[in-house]
Amino acid sequence: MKPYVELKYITKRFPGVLALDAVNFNVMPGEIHALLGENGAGKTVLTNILSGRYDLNEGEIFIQGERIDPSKWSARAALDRGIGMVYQDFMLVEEHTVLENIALADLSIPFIPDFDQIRKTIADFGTKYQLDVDPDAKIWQLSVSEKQRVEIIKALMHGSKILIMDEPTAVLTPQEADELFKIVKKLAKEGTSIIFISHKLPEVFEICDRITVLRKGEYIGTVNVADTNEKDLAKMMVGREVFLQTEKAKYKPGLPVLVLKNISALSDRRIKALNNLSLTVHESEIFGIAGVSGNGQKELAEVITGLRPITNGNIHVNGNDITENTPRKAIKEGIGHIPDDRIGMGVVPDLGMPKSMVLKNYKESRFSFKGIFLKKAEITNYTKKLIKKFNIKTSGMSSPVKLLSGGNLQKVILAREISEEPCMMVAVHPTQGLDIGATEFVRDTLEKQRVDGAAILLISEDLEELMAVSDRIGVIYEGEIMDIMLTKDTTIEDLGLKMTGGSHVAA
Amino acid sequence: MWRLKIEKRLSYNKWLDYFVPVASMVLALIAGSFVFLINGANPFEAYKEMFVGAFGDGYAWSETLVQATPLLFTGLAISLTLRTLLWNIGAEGQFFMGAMAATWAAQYFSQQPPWILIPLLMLSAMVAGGLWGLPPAILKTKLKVNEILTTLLLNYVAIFFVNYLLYGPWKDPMYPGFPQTPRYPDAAILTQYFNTRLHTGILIGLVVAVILYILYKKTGWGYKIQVIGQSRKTAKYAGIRVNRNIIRVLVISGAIAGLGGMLQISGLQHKLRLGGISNNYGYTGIIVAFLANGNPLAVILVALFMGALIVGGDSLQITMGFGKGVVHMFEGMVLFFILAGESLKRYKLRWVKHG
Repeated sequence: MKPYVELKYITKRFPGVLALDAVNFNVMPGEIHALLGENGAGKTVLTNILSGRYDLNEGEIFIQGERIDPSKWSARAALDRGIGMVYQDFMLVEEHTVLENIALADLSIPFIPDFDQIRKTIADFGTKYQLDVDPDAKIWQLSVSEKQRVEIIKALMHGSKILIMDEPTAVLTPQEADELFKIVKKLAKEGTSIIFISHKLPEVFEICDRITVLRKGEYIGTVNVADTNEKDLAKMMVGREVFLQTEKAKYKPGLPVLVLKNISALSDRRIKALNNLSLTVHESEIFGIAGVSGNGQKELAEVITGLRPITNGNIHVNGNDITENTPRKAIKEGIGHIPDDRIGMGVVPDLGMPKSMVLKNYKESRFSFKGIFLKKAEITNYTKKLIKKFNIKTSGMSSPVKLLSGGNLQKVILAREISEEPCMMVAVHPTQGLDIGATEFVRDTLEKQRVDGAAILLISEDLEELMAVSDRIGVIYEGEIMDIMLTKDTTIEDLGLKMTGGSHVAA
Repeated sequence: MWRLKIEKRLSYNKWLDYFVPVASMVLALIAGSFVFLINGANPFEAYKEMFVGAFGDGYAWSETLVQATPLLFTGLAISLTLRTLLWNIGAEGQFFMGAMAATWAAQYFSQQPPWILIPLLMLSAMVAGGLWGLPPAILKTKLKVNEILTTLLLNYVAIFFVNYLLYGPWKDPMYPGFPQTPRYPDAAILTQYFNTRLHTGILIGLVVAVILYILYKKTGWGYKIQVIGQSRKTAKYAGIRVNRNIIRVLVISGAIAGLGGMLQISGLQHKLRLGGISNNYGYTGIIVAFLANGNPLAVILVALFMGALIVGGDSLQITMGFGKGVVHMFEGMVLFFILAGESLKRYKLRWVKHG
């Protein structure tokens, strides 16, 4: 059988960076082909070249055996040749209906579209691939997995023969992911090829046929799923053995640090986001919050760190009442915060490392004279120390932190927050989008904090992470804590069920 | 076929900060020469006239500096808000209010000696300018009203209020035909140097620029407003009281513009006179601050450049007999090129072979 697409010796350079170095990649018709690699390995660059978004410097593209003139290769040409993209951050018009969004994807759409025809096509896809979605629903009313289905239908509408899916399960519950896998398998069976980008090895093994591994822009190899195992693959990706299983000290919780009692809060849209929520986190304890995104996790973190006022209930930290919380108060009480929006909230993107490190403590007398004149030399020394201690890789201390890789950026935030020796740490998706090496580092750092006696609230959508790191796990659903369990007494399946409100049904 | 492609620069090159403005300037001069050619003049001669007019001798220099002085203040005022990512379009009105308050103080405390009176004038001008920045600041922080609109609209209130005073209660009884106040008492007038119109205002402007520079680069407050300017979300996260500092910035900005207004009258005009207060300094200051990229030391250079453009343009009118329109057209062209060139710091153009 001939590959549908073949990329040969693809090289892509960005100023000062070799993003791809003679990478080979091919996809057979009806194949599910995983593209694996750490962040910065070049997976996204490669798919961007395949989908015509980036020019390539060297190499050849063949589609159905025909050599493509690279100068004619564009996003539009890729679409015309059947290469479709299912975006991770959905490219949908929120206020429009599913039908209208899908109609918009049709490039040859006439001035007056034949909506009945499109409606029929959507229904056909629904029965054929189990891609059920209500064509008249507004996008904002849909769940994340439904939005994803709309994106898939959009891509199929172009007559895509290849679907590129960039970490499609990152936003789904285990149950929703299973649904997606069924759809993907069905699509493959009908002849559509899938390029599946993922960090998660188990799901790659579950659905993929072949795996191509990239590392730092280099092509490491392509293997059949049947001929390999998770350990070997991890080694291919990282270039060394990895131990993601964090060594955990014995669970010996101390005094309560954070006590939330019956708190309620509104979301940005002024809808109730937290509903009568109570929980307690103790010294030397990692308390995990599991939940489908959008069930109040964001608001919970903001309430504790003072970024969002509460409408009801009260908050105590080490016995001090901080019900009328502000970020200043929270910082003073020793609450550290690793926000999920690293670049937008965790740092100032255009500032260099020194100014990023002293964001919260520049007023301390070691960094400024009476809080007025900054002590540049001290700040620089302090930064150097942290860069060394946290092994942060940077091209220069004063270059903007936005140029750092995701892992190194997270290290900057971790370094800053931990150096304040917080008694309470709120960590939101601390390893999301990080590669294995950086994930390992973040988890180890949290564990060290725990051993040192800090209370840690870990909000994560990665259930395996919660299971590996937390001592107790609370499941949040529609702003309420549904259940709090000792980690050793629960399973991923159980969590997945409770996250979707399933415990109501079960009870 | 070749095609021009716009690409975002992935790295930031420091040399572009210097190269781009100079290259833009050269291109502007080339393009501007067409304006002169169409009007039947030799562009080289015109440029020579402009240069001589602005820098040719001591007097030319003094006039350029005189024009640069008010722009220095409005430019500095706006550079402060620019750093905080706020837009103060109201420097013009604050300039007027400063001039007005100074005039009031000059009359009210007219018996005081200069060493008391001048600081009093400065203080009242800063208070008035600062107060003129306060309503937009409060509306911005409490009700999220866009400060661009409120600061702009307050300009008209300030200008018409001053006009009312000139036509009404403050009109000089000695010259009832003219909308102007009586001359300031001598104690309220700044020293002029070298028998030119150059006055102490420029020195005060340089001091303010250096103070702002130190504030930005060396102090915790400068750091704080930089964080606020680049990411409000991060500032809140770090426990910085964003609203309080936005109010401070807008008020201080107003105070600096107001001080500029006082110096213009006390140093140069010596009385409030209709049409003799601001030559759109508040608006030109926006361009000054923008071209200087919010850097107060660069504001000095840009204000000087703009001053030279004004003085050189005036001398063109006189020596070569151009109408005001031709000169303004040329000035506009120069600004257009420099502003357009700004985008090349962030984007680059590349020829790509196509098809």
